[in-house]
Amino acid sequence: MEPWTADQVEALAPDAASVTAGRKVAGAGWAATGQGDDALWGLARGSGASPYVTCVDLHEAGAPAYRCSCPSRKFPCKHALGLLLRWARGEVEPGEPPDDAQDWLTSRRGRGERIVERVQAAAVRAAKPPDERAVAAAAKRAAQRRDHVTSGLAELDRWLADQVRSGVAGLRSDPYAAFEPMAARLTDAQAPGVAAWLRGLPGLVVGGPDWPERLLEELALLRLLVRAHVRLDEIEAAEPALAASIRTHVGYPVSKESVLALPGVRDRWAVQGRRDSAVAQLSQRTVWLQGEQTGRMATVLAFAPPGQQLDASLVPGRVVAGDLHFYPAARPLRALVSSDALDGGRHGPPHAGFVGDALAAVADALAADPWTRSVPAWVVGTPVRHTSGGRDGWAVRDELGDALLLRPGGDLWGLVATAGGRPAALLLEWRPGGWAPVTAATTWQETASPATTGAGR
Amino acid sequence: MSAWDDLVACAVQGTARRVPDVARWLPELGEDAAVLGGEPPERLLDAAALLTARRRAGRLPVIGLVPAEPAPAESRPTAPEVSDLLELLDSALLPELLDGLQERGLIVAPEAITTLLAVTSTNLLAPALAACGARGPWLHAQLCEADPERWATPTRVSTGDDEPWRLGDPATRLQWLAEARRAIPDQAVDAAAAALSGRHESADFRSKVVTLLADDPRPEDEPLLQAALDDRAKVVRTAAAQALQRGRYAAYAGRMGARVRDWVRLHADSEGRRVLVVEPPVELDDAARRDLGPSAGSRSEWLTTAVAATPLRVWADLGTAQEACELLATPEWEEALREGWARRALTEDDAGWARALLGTSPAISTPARLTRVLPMTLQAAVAKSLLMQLSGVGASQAVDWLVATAAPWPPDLLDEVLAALPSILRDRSARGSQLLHRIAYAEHPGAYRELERLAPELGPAQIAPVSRAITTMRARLEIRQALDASAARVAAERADQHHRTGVPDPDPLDQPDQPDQADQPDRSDQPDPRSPA
Repeated sequence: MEPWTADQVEALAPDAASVTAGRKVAGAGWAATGQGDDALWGLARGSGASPYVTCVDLHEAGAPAYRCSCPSRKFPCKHALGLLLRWARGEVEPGEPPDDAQDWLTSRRGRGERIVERVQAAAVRAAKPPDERAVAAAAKRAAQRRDHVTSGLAELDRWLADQVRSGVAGLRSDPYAAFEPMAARLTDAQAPGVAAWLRGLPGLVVGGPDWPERLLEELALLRLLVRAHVRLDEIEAAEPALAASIRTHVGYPVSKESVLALPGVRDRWAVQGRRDSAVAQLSQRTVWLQGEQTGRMATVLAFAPPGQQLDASLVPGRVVAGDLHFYPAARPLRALVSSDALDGGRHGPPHAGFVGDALAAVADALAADPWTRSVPAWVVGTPVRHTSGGRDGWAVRDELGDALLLRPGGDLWGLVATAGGRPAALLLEWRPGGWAPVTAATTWQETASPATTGAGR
Repeated sequence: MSAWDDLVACAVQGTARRVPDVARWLPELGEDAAVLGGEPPERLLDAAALLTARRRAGRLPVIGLVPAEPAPAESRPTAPEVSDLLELLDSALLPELLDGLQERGLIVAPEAITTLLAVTSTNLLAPALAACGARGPWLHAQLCEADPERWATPTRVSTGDDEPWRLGDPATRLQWLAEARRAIPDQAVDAAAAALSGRHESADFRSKVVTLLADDPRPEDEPLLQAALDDRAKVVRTAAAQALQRGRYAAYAGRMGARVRDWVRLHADSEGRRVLVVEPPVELDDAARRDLGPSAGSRSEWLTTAVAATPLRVWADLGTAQEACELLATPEWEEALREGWARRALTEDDAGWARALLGTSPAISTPARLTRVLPMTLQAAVAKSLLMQLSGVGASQAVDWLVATAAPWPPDLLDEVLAALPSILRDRSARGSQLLHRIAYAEHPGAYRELERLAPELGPAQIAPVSRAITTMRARLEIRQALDASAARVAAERADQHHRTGVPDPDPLDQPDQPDQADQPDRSDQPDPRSPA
């Protein structure tokens, strides 16, 4: 069992205080520790008379499970973190687990093995020579889904026309009630992508004074998606990548296995930024990566029910050396990390360009996929205050004098403080509502001129 | 009107009411117009989709923005080691962190500045900005521009003009007066005199002026305070009497001294021993009533108040402080007399009297604050003797004492307090949590280990305050360790640089604001006038 790095372990911590507490526990306070069979255990001296039994199951790579008899409500607790940190330093010897730990591991693995058995059974079924009846059944299910989606989207098309006929001004009085029935209908019609899109629109309607035109943009693109779906077979034949994007936007499922089966893109992928958000009662983590050799951007998404740990295997500041498998799309961005990728040490400065490069990247992405909702871009620029249209805010201005206006919110002030009024490499994200700051590169040096590292020129 | 604006207007009102002007769009949509749908709503949405893609993809850069002055070049090294601690920092520990940075000549890393400011309350904004280095005031100016209500520091009253005094609300006027007493004392006395004699000032305001004068006593205030003893409002007379009693005002102290020596006389008893005969009057004369103020109360309070207002040198004929305290006094009034002496010893910051009073009186009945006047070693000695006597009865006074002593305790006192802690905590009347609070915030944080060791001796009810104290001390220890790690790294980097270049480093203590030229590519920047000197 290859030990993790301390950075990887610390990324599991629920907060900064836990990291320091974990470091302290790692150093001292163990009556005994041991490892074996993809698990770590230890007896932690606490304030009580009997030690806490701490156990970490590393059976499933990237998603450790923890158990500790301490009363802490933090998860993982400092003992689990301390034990992992100790292991990262190579200070945990092989040995036999105590009974408590063994019982827990056995019951956990029992559950896990049942799942594995089910998966294997499914794999065996899949590997069998194609049974004509099974193939026919699968084709029938796919056709049924397609029919459901088609009828749902047809209904959406009529609904969109109704809104425009009677005027979208009426939507403002109770936007949530206005959009929810249609969104629910599309969930039933197995088009979850469109349903989620519709559920995001009330927030836009209650937003700023430019809401009518921003809403019209969204309604128009929804209508465009409906029309594209009608011609899906035709598009599939001519431009399969665009068809994949359309399927993704509508919400056809794409299995992880099918993505991992596609050829990977090998590079040293720098983990540059991370943002957690809540989307429809799920925690979502977006991690931005950039290939150190190619300058190509990628995002890796992780989801978890509220209160549960998001996958923390990608640690900002580190490099993942190996393959990324991109989800099929007209402009592939979302990806999965190959299971055999390795930690490649700390990453260097990003590939960054001018404002013009960032705008060109957005134009390219939209030309390939007009429904694109996120384009990341590194820009070397200076945060500058501006007043335009009566509203003041921040912009990023490059040394050519071109600027992008930033949306308020996010860690805008962190960006401003880090740059200190001088040029810095800034990771920005284009979204339909404008540019938002993600992070500033603290490792970026002024000596690296964008002209030599410019991406996309 | 552009095609897009027409589309938006029609969509808002509805195509049932407003028919889109198709003919006018055609040139703008070009050949793409061929794919538009049939009915007006569909045609509108299809045309909008075409224009949306163009609008989003065809955004041009904004030009003509002028960059502001960059943050001034930074001279001090950063301490990224503390960045992680900031997010979850107990705000009560922020001053310790800021002091620690300042002592070590460090500043917070730029990317942690916003986190720091987010946990900073307005009253700590100035030191927090100082801990951000040259970038702090620079960023603060920008934040103020964006959101003045959240970020503006309380404005200092300018004493240059007296408009705040003449026209301001009471709080502003008092603030101006306090500033003026530092900057322009003569004018301040005139202003205070006018306020106290003014017929239009409220009694409340007059009493606040009196209290303000007493907070920062000056001999030249005495005539004003004396006059306020005759004020028409009782609240002002009370405030004036208290101000005069707390301060060291010559004329008032002289009157009080003469009066008190009439009440407390040195006699020889039948056996030739010197004794103090104490006898406060049964009724006060007008002059005494005026000096003691309207809230003087009982005879023993008159005595205590009058003794507390009397300079200690008045008692020189009794011998040294030690001798005076050992004299026999009329038993009925002895306690009131000692209480008065103790208060005066505090006013005059007189360690000799404090020590004598603590040594000879039943120590525990003397105000705990008195220990503050003692030198540290004596405080420790007194505290230890108190701990020895702890048998449940005196625990609460002992805690008051210990809490009042100066920080930090000598190591052996800390050890003794910790040893006594379980019994103090078990005594519910003893306010052990106050003692723990004091230990947690003021003693060396490394002592948390001793607290942890106490845990098995404690009951469930006592565990909670102890574990809170442990948490606090560990957090303080983390702060110290992070600061020390930063300082050690910076020192190592300096030594390394020195080793490589052979150029001696400027002593950071001698030249704190000298830019570290090797690290600053843009030292041609003009220093920002807002940066802290």
